[in-house]
Amino acid sequence: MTSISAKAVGRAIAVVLLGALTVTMPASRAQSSNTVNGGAYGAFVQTPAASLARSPFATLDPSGMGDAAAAAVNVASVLAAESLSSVTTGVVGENAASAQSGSTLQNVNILGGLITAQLVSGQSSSASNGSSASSDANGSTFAGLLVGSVAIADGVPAPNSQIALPGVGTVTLNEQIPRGDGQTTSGLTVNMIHVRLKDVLTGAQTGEIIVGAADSDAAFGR
Amino acid sequence: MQSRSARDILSSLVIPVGAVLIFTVALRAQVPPRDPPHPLASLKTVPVPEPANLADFVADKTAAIRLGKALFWDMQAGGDGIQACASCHFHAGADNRRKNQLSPGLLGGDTTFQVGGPNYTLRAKDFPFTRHADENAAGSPIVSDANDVASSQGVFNTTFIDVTPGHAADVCDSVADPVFQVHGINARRVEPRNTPSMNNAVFNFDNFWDGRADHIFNGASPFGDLDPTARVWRADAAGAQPHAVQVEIEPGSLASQAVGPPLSPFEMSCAGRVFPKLGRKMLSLTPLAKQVVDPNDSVLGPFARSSGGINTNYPQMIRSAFRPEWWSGGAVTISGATFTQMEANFSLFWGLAIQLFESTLVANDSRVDRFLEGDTTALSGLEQQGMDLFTSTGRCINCHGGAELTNASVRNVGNERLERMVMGDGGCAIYDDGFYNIGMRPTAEDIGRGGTDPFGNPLSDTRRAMMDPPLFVDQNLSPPLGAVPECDKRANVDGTFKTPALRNVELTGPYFHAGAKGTLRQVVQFYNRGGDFARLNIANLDPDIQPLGLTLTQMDALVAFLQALTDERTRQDKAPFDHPSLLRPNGCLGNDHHVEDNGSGRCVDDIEEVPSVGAGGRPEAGLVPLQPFLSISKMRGSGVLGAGRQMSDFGFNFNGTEEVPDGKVRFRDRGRRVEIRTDTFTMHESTETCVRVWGPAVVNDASGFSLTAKGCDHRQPGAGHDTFEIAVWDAAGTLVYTNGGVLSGGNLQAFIR
Repeated sequence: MTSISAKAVGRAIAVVLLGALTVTMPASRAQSSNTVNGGAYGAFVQTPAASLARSPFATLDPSGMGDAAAAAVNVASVLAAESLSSVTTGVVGENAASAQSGSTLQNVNILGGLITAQLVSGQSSSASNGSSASSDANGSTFAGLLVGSVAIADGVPAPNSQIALPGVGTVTLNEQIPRGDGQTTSGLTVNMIHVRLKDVLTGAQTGEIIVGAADSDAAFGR
Repeated sequence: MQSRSARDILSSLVIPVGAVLIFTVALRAQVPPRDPPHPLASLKTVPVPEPANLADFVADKTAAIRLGKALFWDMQAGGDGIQACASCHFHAGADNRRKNQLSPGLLGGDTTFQVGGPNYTLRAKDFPFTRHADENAAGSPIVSDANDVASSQGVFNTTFIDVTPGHAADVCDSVADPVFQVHGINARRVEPRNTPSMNNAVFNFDNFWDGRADHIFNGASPFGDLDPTARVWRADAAGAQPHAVQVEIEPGSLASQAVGPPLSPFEMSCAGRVFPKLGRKMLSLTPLAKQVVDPNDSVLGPFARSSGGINTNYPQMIRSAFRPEWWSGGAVTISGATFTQMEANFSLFWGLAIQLFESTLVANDSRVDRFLEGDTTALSGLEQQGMDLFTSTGRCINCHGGAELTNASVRNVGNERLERMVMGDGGCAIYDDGFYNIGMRPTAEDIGRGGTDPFGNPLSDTRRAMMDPPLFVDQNLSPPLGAVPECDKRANVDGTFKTPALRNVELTGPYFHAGAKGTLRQVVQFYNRGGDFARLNIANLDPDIQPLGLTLTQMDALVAFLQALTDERTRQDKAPFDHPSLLRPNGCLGNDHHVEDNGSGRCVDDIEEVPSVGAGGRPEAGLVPLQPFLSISKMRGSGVLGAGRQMSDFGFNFNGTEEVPDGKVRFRDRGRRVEIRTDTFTMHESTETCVRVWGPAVVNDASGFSLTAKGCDHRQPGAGHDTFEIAVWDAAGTLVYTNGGVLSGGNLQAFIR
């Protein structure tokens, strides 16, 4: 088995995620800088023993909306969830561009009950009007979340809240990865639950599980 | 029903055209030539008219403008506590609503609808109301016609009892409405003429389509110095007994106009309300208390309250704006009732303050203005071609002349109110300058300027001049009236209407006094055909109404020129066109077949918000620019309603076309475990902020349901601002599910392509 650093894995994941989620909408004013991108999925698993592609995966298409849904997903001993839905929309208008994505799922069970939630919803919205651009994760939420034996209050914890999972790795709740210059471009990736599996001895990342992912990106240059 | 068949219409067109033309040529040699058209110029070259004796009334013009803006936008002025002046003048000064905007041909005596009944939602395919086999061809037969008027909804049919100080809604009795009702449930009444914009209206000599808003403001009514009842009250000292006086404030047409709607039982009032009562109510209320004033509002911003309205009151605003002799005196008795002087003179304050506010709404920075100022890059080649056509082959300038783009301007009419003209039938006549019969509707349906005021006086200066003794003498008519016998015994005023100015015309559809054309292209096609009812109206027809023979490219050019007349400040609601928020009715909940009774015989209003906009305009507020009346709208977005286990998530994609909209809705109520989806829309309606769609629905994988979904885009980003609603009916028509509210996450964005 080829060992790779956690940093390299993260970089690779970011490339994969952004590459897969990015769909450029044509600008109404024929300016190449006016674009919107978005995508969302309910669950993703990549471990040495099992994998699940982004599912259900919605990506922004030329109609301006993408959506996908699944009644349930089940990766034995790793992840189970029900009522998954993902949606993403985007548009370049006369004054602004905006994109928004969301994924929501219920009755989530990760790693045989190590993490459970009654409801997980990740939301990402981005907008730009050429003079200011911003993104937010408003609407993202957990309900009935348990990490180990610890109950997490309903709502949404602070961005990038990290909890150790002894013998397993770490989990980041409400992971937010912003980008853009804040003036003409802004983007945000939201992963509501991001488990990083680590080798107990070396600490190297051996896999990951993502639940409730949403990504949006808006660029408007006027 | 007055729908006209093509055969009926054609049968009335038995005019020997050749003979008319020959007669016209012969007669033109005998009458004084018509004045040459006034050349185009930038509107910046025209001073804004202002009454010469303004200082006799107004102490502080800035304060008066502030008062005028508050009064104009205040919903509390309506008898129902909802209807403001702005309720019909919120979109570039006009009204772009589509639902419950139809009036039957009331002014022609018709009370039946053809296009759609009360609470009908107008669609693109309803326009134009008069259709020809070939819209571009002169002489093409009419294949369908309706005398309905696309206008503005006002108030329900009610009678006034009294006001209750401190309460926005007057005490009124509901009256069964024989016309504006859906299965016996009253809908809001709709005006019989289309709503013109008040932007640039300060340049009009007289206002309203028929010009009855007189250029002389008498302080009390629209009818100028011919209203024998008009009085205001002046006190010689503070606390002194006021005495009734007659006043003449000129130019004062905007003030004359402004005092009309507040007492109209169609527009803003329960029938029978008087201005002192309106004053009593308004003086007791926090200005704009139901509305949001943007802190950056160019006029009201410094007074904005976070809780709504402004942090002053109307008595203080009047004391700041007007001279004390008009408000500081003792009580006044009118028709046996006692009022304060401020209440008694409320019509004076209302009219003058709104006139001064509207005088700031000058749209004079269009690309055409810039081109005429010397910026040769301001117009494209096509637009310049359109301007050339406007001033030549198109004959537009003959009525839409001068920098104001109307012959009905203060500058033009003020110099010459009467003019002689060889008419469409070849005969000569006198007419009111700036008012023309263009054959858009049959003259008998609405005689316009040919009407009379409530006292029996003709509205028309021409008819007033021909009375014995004359009510009016035009000293500037040369030669004087009577000197050209073949012209001077004939008044050409019936079916004539004020020529509207054209800046921002792109945004102010539907068009003409009947609102019967939905797009600028339909307007140009109308003129290119030589009118719709030219021969029927031949006795009063303007001679410029004749087939123009324009090519499709030339019509494109004319449309492009008209679109270049938009002042971008207006399109973006930037100062001075910024404004408070407004909750305005958009018909009744339901449709033209079914509405809900609110318990008093009236339907339940479908209220929509016009968001507040500060001086920076719609871009700063995250709003899309104002759109034309008919356009292709789209809306996309997704997000979350509610929170926690009870949250709902949705996706919404609407692509509107003139015929068949498409898109989809995805909606999941996580708490109630309801999943709704549709990929088909059967109908839609839209405003500048909201889109509502209807279509079949699949609910929890079962078909046979129908839904309506409505998205409203108020800001970018939309969390906390935008709204989404959904309702589902089963196959039996029973409402089985509703949800909606402000987005807690996500965003909706509307736009027009």
